Amino acid sequence: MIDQEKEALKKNNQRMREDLEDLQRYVDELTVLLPLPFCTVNPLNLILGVNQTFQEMTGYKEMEVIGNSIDTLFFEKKDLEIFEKKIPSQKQRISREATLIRKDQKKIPVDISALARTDEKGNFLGYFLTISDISESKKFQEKLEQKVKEKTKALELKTKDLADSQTAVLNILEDTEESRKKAEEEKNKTMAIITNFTDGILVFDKDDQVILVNPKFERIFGVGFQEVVGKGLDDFKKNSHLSDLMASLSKSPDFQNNNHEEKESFREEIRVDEATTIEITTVAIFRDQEKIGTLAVLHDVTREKMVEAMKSEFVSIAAHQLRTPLSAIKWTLVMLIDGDLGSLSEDQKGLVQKAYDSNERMVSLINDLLNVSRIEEGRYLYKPSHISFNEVIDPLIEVYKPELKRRGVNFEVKIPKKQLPKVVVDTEKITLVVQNFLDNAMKYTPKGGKVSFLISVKDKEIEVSVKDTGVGIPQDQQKRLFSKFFRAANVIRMETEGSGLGLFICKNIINSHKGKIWFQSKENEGSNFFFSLPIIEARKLK
Amino acid sequence: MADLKEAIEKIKEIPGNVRGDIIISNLLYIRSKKGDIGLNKVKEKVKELNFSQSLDKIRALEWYPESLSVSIILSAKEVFNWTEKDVFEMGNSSTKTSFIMKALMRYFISIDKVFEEASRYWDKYFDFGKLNILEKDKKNKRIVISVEGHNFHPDICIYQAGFMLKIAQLSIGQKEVEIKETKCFFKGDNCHEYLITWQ
Repeated sequence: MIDQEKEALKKNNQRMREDLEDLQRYVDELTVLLPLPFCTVNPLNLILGVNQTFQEMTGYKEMEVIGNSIDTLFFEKKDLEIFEKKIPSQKQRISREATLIRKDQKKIPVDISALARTDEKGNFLGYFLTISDISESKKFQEKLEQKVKEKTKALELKTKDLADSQTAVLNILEDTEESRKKAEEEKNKTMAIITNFTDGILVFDKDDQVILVNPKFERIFGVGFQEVVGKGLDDFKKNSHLSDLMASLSKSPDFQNNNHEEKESFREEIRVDEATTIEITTVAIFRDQEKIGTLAVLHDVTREKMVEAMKSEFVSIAAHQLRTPLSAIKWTLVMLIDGDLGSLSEDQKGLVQKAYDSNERMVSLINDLLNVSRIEEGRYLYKPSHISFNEVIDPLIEVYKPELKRRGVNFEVKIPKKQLPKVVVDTEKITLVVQNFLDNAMKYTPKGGKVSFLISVKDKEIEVSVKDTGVGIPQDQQKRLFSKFFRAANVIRMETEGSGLGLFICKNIINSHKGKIWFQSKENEGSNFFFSLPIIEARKLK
Repeated sequence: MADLKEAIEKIKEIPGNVRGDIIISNLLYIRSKKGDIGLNKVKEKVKELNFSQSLDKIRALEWYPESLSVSIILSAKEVFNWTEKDVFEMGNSSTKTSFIMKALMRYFISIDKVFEEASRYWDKYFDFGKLNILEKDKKNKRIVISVEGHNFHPDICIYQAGFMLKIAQLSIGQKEVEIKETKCFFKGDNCHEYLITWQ
């Protein structure tokens, strides 16, 4: 029986050994095959066992590493001590990052996890430690951090740039706001001036579209700005209120000319209605040599026109009233000179002759005044006839030759030998112009001087000039020479006769013939007066 | 060789078995130091000593004659011309790969615990002899251990010293642990006695 029990015990022991050996093989296989590096560590942090992967990762053989402190494998020794102290009290796995120092001293960033081992009574027996290579994720993280750093830096720079730009923009905005306020103030001032301006104002842009009118303009023409603003010159052709204005404006060179050059302003008068006359003045507006628009100022000259008309009427009436007694005086004096009322002594005859001459001058002045009145009243009628220019000129030359000779002035006449072309002229008026030129030359050329009468025929016009070596016209007064009642200072000093109306009448006559009148003069050297008339063929006249 | 063979023949006459785990640990150590070629040389040598047991078929928990285990240690010493220091190192390293030791190490939580259980550990490896703790003085950092009935060869005393030192190192937690055989059967003492001290 005892032998049987011994045999059974032996068999039982054998089975247990086999079970244990199976368990050992299982543990060995697990240790070899487990892909995660791990080790068992005792409470003193000494390595008791490692698996195959652990050996591969650390480079240490099992023999080399068992019995060593786990701390020797890692770089962060002090931090690891804190970690190790935590392990016994933790029921769960705890982890941290560390730097594994391989046998070849290569450092690898790893994640270590520890799980405490306890016996059945809860006594701490040590721990399992697993190691995970996180170098790839670390590299990725580092790259990411680097990228984040770079991005952050770039962002900071951008933010700084933005902040600088913001400050700059704010400064610009402040400046702009200030400038805007100033501009607004200036604009308001300008608008106040324009609004309250006593003249009408019409402003066109560079494309000749109306951009601004003031209330005075609206009052003059009885239109609202809505009807005008945004429209061009041609848009007003059918507008009865504005057609005359726009027709007049379209003549202004300021609307066609885009070059910035000094020139006289365009001026023209128009009648808005029976009672209102305005003078239009235009001026092109330039900024930095670039035309930006045109300004038209409409000045109400109704009152001036009325006064002028009244003056003309007065002069006309006075002249008419004066001419009748002057005619009576003239004929009385003629009778005395001719001896119809008895013979006169030489002294008496001389005095009467002087009275006659004075009366003649008075008649001439009255005639000039009447002509001016007619011109201003628009009654200076133009009576055209198609005649050869010789018919106008030749008689006059013959009249002036002896008189100039008598005064000791050389008289030179240069007229083309062949027949002069026919022109359409009011013979009486053109005669008056030529007379005026020759009279002036004669009066203001001293003895021994020279007067030249020249006629030249050009392509489509005939040009007449009267040149003298007389006193000339002072430079500063030349602009006013064709004005009414103007006489140059030097001739007034000479006390020569003259009403100051001759050249004014001449200008109106030549203008009415669609000709041109002008002069060249230098004080103390002489003057040269010209006029030209268009040559009009008979067939065209018809 | 003649001396070794003669010595082994005498050793074979001493009764006593050891767990295959020790033999496996020693073979692993030899391979780790000298590779498979070196290991084969040792195997050849053991074969020449007339052991029929194949060393490739040793099982960790099976019992084998202690003379086989001793002959492996002595053969390695002769083949590789090892010194006593190498034998000591072999004993010291065998604990690292021993399956039984790994299983027991979970109790290596303190020096007290290790040496309380020391005689039990002995029994797990050997079916003969006895291990006793004669003195345990933590204050003076010394322990005296005696081993009785394990009298195979003087070199095995050195091997045992290496083995015990590693256990002490693992339980004390420092490298500065020393072991010295203060008594030896082969020096006329009635047992082996080891003094373990540490810093």
